[in-house]
Amino acid sequence: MDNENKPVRRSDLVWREIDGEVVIISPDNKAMQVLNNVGSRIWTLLDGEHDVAAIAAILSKEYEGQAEDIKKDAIEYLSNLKQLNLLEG
Amino acid sequence: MDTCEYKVTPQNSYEDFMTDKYWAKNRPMSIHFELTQRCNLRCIHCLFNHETRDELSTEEIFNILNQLKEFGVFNLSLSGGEIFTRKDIGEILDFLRIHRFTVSIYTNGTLINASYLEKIAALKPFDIQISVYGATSDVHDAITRIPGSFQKTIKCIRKLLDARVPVFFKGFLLEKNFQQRWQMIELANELGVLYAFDFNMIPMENGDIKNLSAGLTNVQIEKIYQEVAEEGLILRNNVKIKSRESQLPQGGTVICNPGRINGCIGSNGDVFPCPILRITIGNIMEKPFEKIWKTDRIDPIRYMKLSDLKECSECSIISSCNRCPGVAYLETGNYLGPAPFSVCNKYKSLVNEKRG
Repeated sequence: MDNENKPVRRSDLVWREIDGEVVIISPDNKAMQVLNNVGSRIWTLLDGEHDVAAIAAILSKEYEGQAEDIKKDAIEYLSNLKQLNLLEG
Repeated sequence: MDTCEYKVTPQNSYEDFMTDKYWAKNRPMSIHFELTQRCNLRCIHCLFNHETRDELSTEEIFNILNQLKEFGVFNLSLSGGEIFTRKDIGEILDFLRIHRFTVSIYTNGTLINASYLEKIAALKPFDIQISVYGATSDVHDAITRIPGSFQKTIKCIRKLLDARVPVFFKGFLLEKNFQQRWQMIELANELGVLYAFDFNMIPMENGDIKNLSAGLTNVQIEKIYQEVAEEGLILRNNVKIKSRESQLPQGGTVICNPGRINGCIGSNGDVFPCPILRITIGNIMEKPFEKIWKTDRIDPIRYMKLSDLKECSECSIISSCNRCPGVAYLETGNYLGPAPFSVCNKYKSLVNEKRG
């Protein structure tokens, strides 16, 4: 996943953010995923407006850690969401 | 402050999430939304009399759906009356397609045209539950009291299946269709859909009990329990006449949980703790849903205990009966008391026959 890539959530998923944590239900297999705190923040940024670089920059401002490490974690996390078939494309 | 130096683990515990975010806070997960009380059928056992009453407008429904989503509600069951009598039902389905919920649709299927079918398929509902009251036209139509309704319902099921919409065959057993129960199962199997039966009668919303006479006789109920145990007949409410001990709280635990993570909104905006326990908590046209729900006025309902049921807890058949606070309330106005006509008479007689 490169810097300009603008990941976007699958539009048919049912998801809610409750007290900062996101839970997602897929209509295909009714599988439910609960994202942890940082994962939930990333999820809210997957609106197709933010590219990977922008997401990493926002996380760097909001969370402690080295910018490069945060970016690396974010990319890994996005790949994970992709594998779980939670992203478009 | 949280750190981004974490192991990537998208899945936390769903159980923990539900306990912390929903149960502990009495946050509703599922809402049964009655979009109308109008219906094109006149089923002999229905709890509504289908009198015209104030109904929420399209915009009001959209507003409520936004509130529910904001509050964290996931599951919606769209119910009536018959929801496809609403002229704006297509718009509502479109709205739900965009503002995602896990949707179950309760319908008789007779009014679903090609346009609605397309919208339902696009919505990707969790399921569409279709009421079926017989395996042949004469039996089904005698219960709905509308000639031709059976043919329309079955045709609709086939079309929904062609459109790959998950259909659930919602059978209801009454005295008049009892003889066709196995034919109904064959029909469900032939259609290729899941089925389950219910036979628990609910008095009418206004407290009238005249609809109860359409229910199964004691002999028929006994036969049903035997078939559930020995022949694999499937009931929606898995209640057994032999013993209900596993469902009964021992000591101080909660009996059932109306008004905690499940609730109901009526066609005029009244909010209830459950679709059967029709004690109005408030009206959504007067106050936002979240404010209505967060009242502590219904805590005695939310946290009912066996010891609260003064009369029932001392009854000799409590472990066998199919008690429901909502049914008791409809019959007598007291959700903590017995329901003499719908439940007590029937189960006392059944248990006595067994003992005798």
